[in-house]
Amino acid sequence: MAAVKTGLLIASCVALATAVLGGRYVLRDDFMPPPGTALRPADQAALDPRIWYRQSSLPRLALPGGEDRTVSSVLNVSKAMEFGDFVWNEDAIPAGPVWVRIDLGNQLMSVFRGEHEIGSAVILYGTDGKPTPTGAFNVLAKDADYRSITYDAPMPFMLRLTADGVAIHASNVREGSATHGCIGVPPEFARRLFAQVQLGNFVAILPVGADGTKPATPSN
Amino acid sequence: MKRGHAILSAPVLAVLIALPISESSLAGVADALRDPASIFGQRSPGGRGPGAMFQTKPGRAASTAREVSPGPSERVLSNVRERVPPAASAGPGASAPSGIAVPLETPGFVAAVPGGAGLGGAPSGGSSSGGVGAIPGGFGPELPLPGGGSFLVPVPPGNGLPIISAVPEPETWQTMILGVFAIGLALRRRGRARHAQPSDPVIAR
Repeated sequence: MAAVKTGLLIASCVALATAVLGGRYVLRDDFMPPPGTALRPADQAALDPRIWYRQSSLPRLALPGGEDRTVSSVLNVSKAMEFGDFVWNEDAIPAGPVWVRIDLGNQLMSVFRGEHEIGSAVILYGTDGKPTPTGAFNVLAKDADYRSITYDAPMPFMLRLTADGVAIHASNVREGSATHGCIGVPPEFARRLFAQVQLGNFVAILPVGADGTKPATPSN
Repeated sequence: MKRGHAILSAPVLAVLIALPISESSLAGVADALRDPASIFGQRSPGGRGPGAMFQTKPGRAASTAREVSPGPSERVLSNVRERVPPAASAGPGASAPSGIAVPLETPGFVAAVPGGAGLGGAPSGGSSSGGVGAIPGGFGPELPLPGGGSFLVPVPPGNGLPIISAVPEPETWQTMILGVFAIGLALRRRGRARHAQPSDPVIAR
């Protein structure tokens, strides 16, 4: 009886370890099939860096400020991103106006160039006591080495959105954190975003609870 | 043991491999799931739960925690400053004590004294130990010094020295009582030892 119990215990431990190791192996980001392996179309689609839409039926993203923008392709992220994660891929994407869509409900930022998404990151936003304003904004100022006077803290790659200082800037993006109203993005993502964005570029901040496909109601 | 491992791990591995592939293939095939909103929802870490807090920046915390004092505090000397100088109550001429010494060598201060006539025999007073009186004259108790502080009225020697009260303080009482107890204890012990000496061998036995 005791031997059976011990055996069961050991077996469950082994099963748990296998599950952990196997899960890590299968879900690894750089998981690639061995060369020469024939892939099913679905698997091939899962490995593509971006998802293209048919030119006949391009989806339109409703944005605050009463406009919607056509999207030709979005980045293919196969799993949920974690805090501090971001994706960036601008390969073979033509030049065009850069605009940013920030979804507070999903805690996501998407950077578009023209009709193509070139970057996406998990963001931090303002607490309930110091909420991030929502609506349509334009980039008012840029500063790669900004230091906040109000908070006496470095805010690299700052892209100011409002006159009272709400901005997109590099931040330590981790779970359970929030900002004083700014949008915090991972530093490397902030650097790339800063290089793309020019003064006057469009930034849309969708409030919490706004579905991406429905017209969002800007709160201010 | 090894067989159990293989039996248990094989289905687990199969399930783990099958799950992501089937999910991704489903997502890839279904056209309805390919709209941007659902794609954003899939990659999202989810909505933020309640209780997300910002960490107050260190610099900000330091600046808000520090209390800014309105000016130099002179708590120790406040009694002296509040006291009406005897010169102010009496007339300027009558109040002048016999020997007045001005122990201040700052030329700026001397020039700023308006009622200089009241300081008649200043050099004759000699050292400040002889008789330091209140500075007479028409000026009030608050005279600005060139250093930035306030002018402090010198106190006459009788009041300036530490006053020894006739009644001891509680601390003094405590020390005294402790000392008396200690002496008593020592005496008792000595007496007991002296009395116990004859019977000591009996106890030891």
